[in-house]
Amino acid sequence: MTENAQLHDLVGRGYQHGFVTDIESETLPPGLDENVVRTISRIKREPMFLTEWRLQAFRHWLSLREPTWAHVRAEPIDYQSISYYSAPKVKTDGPKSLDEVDPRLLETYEKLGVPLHERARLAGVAVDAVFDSVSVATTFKDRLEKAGVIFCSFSDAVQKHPELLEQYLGSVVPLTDNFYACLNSAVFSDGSFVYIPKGVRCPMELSTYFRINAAKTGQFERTLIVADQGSHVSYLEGCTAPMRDENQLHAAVVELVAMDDAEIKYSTVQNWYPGDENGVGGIYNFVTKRGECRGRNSRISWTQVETGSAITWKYPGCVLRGENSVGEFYSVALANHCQQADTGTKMIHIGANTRSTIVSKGISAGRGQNTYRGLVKILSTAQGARNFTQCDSLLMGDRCGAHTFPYVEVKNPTAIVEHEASTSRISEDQLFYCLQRGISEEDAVNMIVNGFCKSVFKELPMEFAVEAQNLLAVSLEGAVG
Amino acid sequence: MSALPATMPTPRDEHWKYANLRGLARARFEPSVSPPAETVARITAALPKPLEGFERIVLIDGFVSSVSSTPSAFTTTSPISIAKLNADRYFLELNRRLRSDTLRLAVARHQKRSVEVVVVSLGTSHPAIEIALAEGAELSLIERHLPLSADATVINLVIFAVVGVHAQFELSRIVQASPKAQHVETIELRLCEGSASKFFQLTTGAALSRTTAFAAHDGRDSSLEWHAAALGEGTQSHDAFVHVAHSAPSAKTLQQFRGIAADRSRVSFTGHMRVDTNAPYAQCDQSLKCLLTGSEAEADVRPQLEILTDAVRASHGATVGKLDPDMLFYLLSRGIPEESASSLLKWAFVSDVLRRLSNPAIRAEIEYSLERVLPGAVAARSGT
Repeated sequence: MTENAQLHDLVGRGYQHGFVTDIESETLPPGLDENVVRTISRIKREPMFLTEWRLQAFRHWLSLREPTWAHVRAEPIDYQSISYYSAPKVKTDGPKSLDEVDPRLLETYEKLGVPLHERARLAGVAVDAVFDSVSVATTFKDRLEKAGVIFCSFSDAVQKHPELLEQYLGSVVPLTDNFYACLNSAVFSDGSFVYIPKGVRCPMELSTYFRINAAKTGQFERTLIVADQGSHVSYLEGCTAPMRDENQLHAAVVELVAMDDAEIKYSTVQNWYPGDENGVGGIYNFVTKRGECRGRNSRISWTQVETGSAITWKYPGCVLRGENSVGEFYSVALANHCQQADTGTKMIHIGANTRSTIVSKGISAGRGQNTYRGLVKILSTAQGARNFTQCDSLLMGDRCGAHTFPYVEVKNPTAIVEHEASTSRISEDQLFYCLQRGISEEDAVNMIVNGFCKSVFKELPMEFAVEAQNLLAVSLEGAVG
Repeated sequence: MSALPATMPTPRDEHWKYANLRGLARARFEPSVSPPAETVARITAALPKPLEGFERIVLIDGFVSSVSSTPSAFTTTSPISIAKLNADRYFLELNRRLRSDTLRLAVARHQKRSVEVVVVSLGTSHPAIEIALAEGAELSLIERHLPLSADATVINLVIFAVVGVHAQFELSRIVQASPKAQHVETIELRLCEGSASKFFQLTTGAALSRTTAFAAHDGRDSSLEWHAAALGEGTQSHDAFVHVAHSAPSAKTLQQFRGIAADRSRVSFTGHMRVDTNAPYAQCDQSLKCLLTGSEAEADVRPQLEILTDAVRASHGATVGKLDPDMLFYLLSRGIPEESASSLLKWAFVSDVLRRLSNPAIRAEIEYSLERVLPGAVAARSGT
């Protein structure tokens, strides 16, 4: 099976988004010190509290060491050789509408299939596009404003809603949280800010598309989503980067806050450049994502499809503080060629009757190393807490690896926690069964892989589900038929 | 005491994340001197009757007691050469430096032996047991720890075993320590081609216990069954880290753990299985389950798989929960007192492990041991 040509074709397709946009940029010289932090803050015209917050993070970061516990091997990162700010040059302070955005930028997003033009209403998705360090455009602003929804770039939020930022920024992922989150807190450049007021159901899906373009830069975006009492939002995130021989660092932080009866659905299709077949180049994707269910009956759902990046280090988690709150994590992670993924989730149960579900599917191919690392922690206050975890791994090839490191820590005797996992290759029996019914080998493999991932794909919004399936090169038709 | 070669593990060490390291740091590891003759005589008189068909060897504070033991033809003074698998060397090195005696058991080719090792700790001891099974040999070893002292005893035990080609090894351990005891043990197993090993362990008592075990499938077609249960009560802490390495093709490992944490106790188990690239056709199964019955009890389980080849079938499951209220109600509605009903359900919970015992003498011994921890369970089972 491992020698199967179609299977190799399936997992060996080239990176589709590796082009570079030739655009004039303003880029800070490489290096990191307090001056760089102050400069970024000055460029963004930030209030004093934010500058101080950044500096506090930077000083703390100097005292930290890179974490080494992940099941990955990475070349050491020279943090002084990275440029911490790069932005496309604009004539004025910022584009007032899409007409003022550089056409080459718009072309880039057209190539990527991101609907920036509001005329693409059929897509029905409001998009914030982040190019290197800054947001270049946000669509459907008017319609969202009518509903009371704030959806803007982080830079805009700093100017227009500083009180909300001061209240929520760092309240879920504190600046001292970990090495990469701390670095992000010091140098983050842009990102998205979402606020859904009380009782509002966001009229459309929100989406941010991240693109790294410039060489020798890192991307440190920050996303903050606050869903006030009784509100609902579905947020999508996508990302790509050019093919380069160097490793580029992406260290983002995402914070979600859900108040009473609120619901946040956060979906990611991560397709950063994974490096070539020999592991040269690719993005180091070291991301901290965490949601806090602060209110009663709140719900946060993470869905991720991880196909890109040379190294992925990412554990989207939920802190279930409110009574009856619910955390969910659905993940498909593919590690092909020399990719390494150490990903999973953390579910921290604090409130009574909190529930969490974890479904993780790992696919390893070539020399890829895929690790699921998950923590389910039930504190003594979490009366009647419930967790179910399922993590399965599929191996394609005798040189890849699939690893599972779950942590189950329970301090309340009324809690019930269940974890189950399996690791296997594509079953010869399943394949034979399909083949002897006249299904081609390619369709059979597609069908089996699709069936393996189905429980995650069904959690994705439709547009992303299609993109995710394309990324995994799996045809849905076979499975549906 | 001479300086140690390595630093003591810390909670930041993944292998020691759940161990009660503060308790261990307070432990005094200075070994006790050889017990006087009258103490040996007193202990010999207090020992339970030897198991039928088993030779007996008694270790008192780490010294092999010739008075209490039945003469054994197969103990040896020759060191048994064992490669070092253990990455957690602190307590192993401590044992090597401070051990008073080493019990060496060697079973010759195609020989069959049954041995009972009784371990008695009165102070601080570093017992060492080295075992070698030659080709086709069979050894059934029962290791019993008897709580004959109410003092705060400290034991740092090391067991090395090499299971030869097509040999069969059954190690049944009943670790029943006194309430103030601190119990640390390091176990290393090397499994040769076609060998079959069964490991059972029941841990009760002890203020803190920690098992660090490393097993390696060095030969193809070897199999290992690892069944362990721990019952915590009071403020006890029972922690185990078991690493199994598959380094040869077609090896099988089945790992089961059942833990019950009552009162304010903590029970934890980490099962780490690694399948190397040169170990295709491996089969690994883990089932780790814990029951929490105390309002402030804690259970931590980590079923871990590290798979580096695709020709493998691996699965694991872990649960932590409470006694099933429906089952409890069923028993209560049939007139069984609550304590007995609860004990019976706990008994059923750990019987997943106990039923794997093939030797009736060992089983009776463990059931006897369990009855003291789960009062009323035997009576409820038999309907008396």
